[in-house]
Amino acid sequence: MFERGVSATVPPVRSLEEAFPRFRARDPSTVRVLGDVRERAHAFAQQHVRPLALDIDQRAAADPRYVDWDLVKAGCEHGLLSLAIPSAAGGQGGLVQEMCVTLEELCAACPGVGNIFGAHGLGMLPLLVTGVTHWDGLLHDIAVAERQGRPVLMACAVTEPDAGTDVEEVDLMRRGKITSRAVLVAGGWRLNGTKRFISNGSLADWVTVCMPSDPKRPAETWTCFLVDAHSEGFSVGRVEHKMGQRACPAAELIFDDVFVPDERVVGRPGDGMPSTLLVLAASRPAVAAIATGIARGAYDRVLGWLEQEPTLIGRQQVQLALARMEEEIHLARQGYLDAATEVDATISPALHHPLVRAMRMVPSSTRRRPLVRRWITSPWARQTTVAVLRHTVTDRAVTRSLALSSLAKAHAADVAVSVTGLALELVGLDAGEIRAELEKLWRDAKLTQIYEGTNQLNRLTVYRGLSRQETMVALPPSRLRLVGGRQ
Amino acid sequence: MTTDLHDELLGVVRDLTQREVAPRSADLDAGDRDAFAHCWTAACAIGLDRVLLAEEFGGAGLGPADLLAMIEEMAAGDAGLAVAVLLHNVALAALPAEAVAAVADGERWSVTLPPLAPSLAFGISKGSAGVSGRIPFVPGALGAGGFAILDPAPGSAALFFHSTAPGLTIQPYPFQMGWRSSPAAGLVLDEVTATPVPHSVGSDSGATRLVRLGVSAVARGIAGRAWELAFEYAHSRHQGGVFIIEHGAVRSLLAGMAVQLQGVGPAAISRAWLDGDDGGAIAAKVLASDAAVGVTTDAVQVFGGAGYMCETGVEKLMRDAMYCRLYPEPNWLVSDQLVASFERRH
Ligand SMILES: Cc1cc2nc3c(=O)[nH]c(=O)nc-3n(C[C@H](O)[C@H](O)[C@H](O)COP(=O)(O)OP(=O)(O)OC[C@H]3O[C@@H](n4cnc5c(N)ncnc54)[C@H](O)[C@@H]3O)c2cc1C
Repeated sequence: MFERGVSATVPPVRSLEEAFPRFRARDPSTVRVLGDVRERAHAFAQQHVRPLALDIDQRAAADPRYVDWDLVKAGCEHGLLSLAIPSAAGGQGGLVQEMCVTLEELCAACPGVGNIFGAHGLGMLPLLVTGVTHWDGLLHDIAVAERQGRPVLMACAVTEPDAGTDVEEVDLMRRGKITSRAVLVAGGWRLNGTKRFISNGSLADWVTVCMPSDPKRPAETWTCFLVDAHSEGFSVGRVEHKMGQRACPAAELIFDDVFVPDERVVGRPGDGMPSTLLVLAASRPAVAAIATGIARGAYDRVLGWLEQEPTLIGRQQVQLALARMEEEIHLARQGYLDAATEVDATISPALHHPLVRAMRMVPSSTRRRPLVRRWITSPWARQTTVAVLRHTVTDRAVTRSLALSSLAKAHAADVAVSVTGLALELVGLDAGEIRAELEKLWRDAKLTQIYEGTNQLNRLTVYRGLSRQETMVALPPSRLRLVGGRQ
Repeated sequence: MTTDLHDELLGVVRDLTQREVAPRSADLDAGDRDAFAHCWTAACAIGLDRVLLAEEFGGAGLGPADLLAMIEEMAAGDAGLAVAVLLHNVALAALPAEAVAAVADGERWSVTLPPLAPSLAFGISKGSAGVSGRIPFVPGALGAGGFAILDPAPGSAALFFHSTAPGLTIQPYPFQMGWRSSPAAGLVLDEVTATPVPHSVGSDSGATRLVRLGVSAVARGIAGRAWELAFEYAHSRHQGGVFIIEHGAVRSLLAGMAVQLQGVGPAAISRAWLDGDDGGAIAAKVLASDAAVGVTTDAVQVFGGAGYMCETGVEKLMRDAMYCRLYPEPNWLVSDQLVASFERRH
């Protein structure tokens, strides 16, 4: 067994300009902010995560429910759970770019641990994108709990046993077999069904889950709900034994007549599918960043190891392989940064809309008063959120952004698999702990080709959004028109 | 051997693999020693431990081509077990008659190859008091009864010693993601009394060629199994209202796998053997192991999320395939030797 512990030394982080040359051309304040985010994540990852990575992997191999809560709590101290929560709700106001840079650093140390925070971010995304009504509720609570050292984790549950790829796209959903169902009852909804392979599923206190209210018209009635994991009827089924990313459990979630009050519908009933596209546009760059981090983690390790192997590093075969890795990682990183920048630019007009700004100016304590809260969660306020989105963002812009995100995801995932394989091959079987770490990263890498839609599905989205220049319905319809709307 | 007899023998091995090995594949992967002992005993019962030995040594008197075909069949059930069978047979073939006669029924041996690259040199030396040094990563070293070291130095074709030999320390590897039923170890020798085997015993470079071709047979077995599982799954999983085999994306994955499998057909293996072609053996190993990694990775992809779960057994094939790429040496390391073997020919 390898030693557990906290590393005293942190290898230096490369300067942001060096790592992301394209940033030189960017707004200097963004570069500075991202640079800081990256350095903080790097220090946390190298100090706290990397020394534990192999040990956690082994423990979770024996017991897939194993979770290193101390590490999650340490993540709280570093603000990893509130990174993407708007500052108006008490978080750090990071956008997709900040999330991505953080994930690259975490996953360079341990992709499974990174995915705990990534899946938490995914769980929050529907609330961030269309669930403004929850900013002062749950998101605020998460940020407060985090400051108290109490992790409140989220998960996002979409995949079902009979519908994986089918729940990622409207046309497929219409042909697919979706068995979950939400039924309207007095004061709220009753949810039934099973979701599977849900990252953080067995850890989360809150789950955003999507289900149709009419199984015959799943795409039109797909609705996102915020479910308290302590609700009656909610349970965790099997937790999977899996190939890698074991630090983050993937669980089956069973909904047996779970009651969800009306105010916990995220956005409006039936808006789930278009919102999903917006969520995917934001979450796929994150997976690309995870994959880039995995590749970089392998590269860093192999470089470090080769310093002790002068006969090997002197050989051109090795030098060429290293150059190839550098090349692939560089391009994967550019891919996710491009996609993240694009999605941030796509949604930021909505965040800067006068109505949203006005709401942010009202002190949080006022917004949390029952009367004001009732107004914020009212159907009218939900309509307004959609209207603001429609006013500031176009379907075409979201489609393009989604396609760019899908491109970055599929490419980076392939890079992760090939670079980790190459790194493992370079060190061979007799490299001790480095070999075990590289084997782990290679096992971890494979998942990035599968989740957030298989690479095949991602590439079909690239075809639709970029090659064919299609415009998908990526925003919910608005019955309310704000003056000067774009659509 | 006649084709009929060959097919019949393979049928017996296939039957054993399906009956005894495949159902225990998850246990073998979990390192369950009882499961391994059961499978090893079953393999010995049909003579798989003495394939190359002459009949007077209780062997089957078969040739390397038969052994390789059998290894491929076994690897479809469990690669670690197939590797154990391979290395045991190569070890026995390298031993002199008296030593073979002393190997107890059911005892398993392992073998180490001469390193291809100087950077991987064992650094073992023979002194008057015995052999000292360290030999890395010997598959199946844990639980082996003895070891044959091939081509250790000029003068002898091999050295051999028992696992109980004084001065021998067997150092297990902490984690091993592939071939997990054959737990590997490093051997540290401190003045171990090892018996030299003269060249006449028949372990010329044929033994190392046989190991590489054996690993390519293991790779083919793994890849073939991955193909079967993926093909079957594609006909049973519904997405988008059809079996996923109907989707062009899945068909192109499967087609790519089929092409890779075709490219590493048995011809390459037996040609390299018959021609005594070391370069050909290395090339066959590189090709087959790369194909196995490619095919198994795509097989997991055909399964989607389910493929990533241990339960379906495809991710294990991917891990096992990667070890074919890394053993007896990583594929990238062979370029010098490969080119040198062609230079020798011209
Ligand atoms: C460890 C892990 C964690 C996960 N975490 C989450 C999570 O937190 N939340 C969540 O909701 N989900 C999660 N998932 C689910 C993941 O998103 C799905 O596995 C993925 O979308 C693929 O679905 P599937 O597994 O059902 O594969 P399938 O859809 O059955 O796909 C099988 C194969 O068929 C192909 N295929 C299917 N349909 C088509 C088509 N129409 N056209 C072309 N090819 C097609 C696929 O590309 C694939 O090769 C996770 C999965 C894993 C493995």
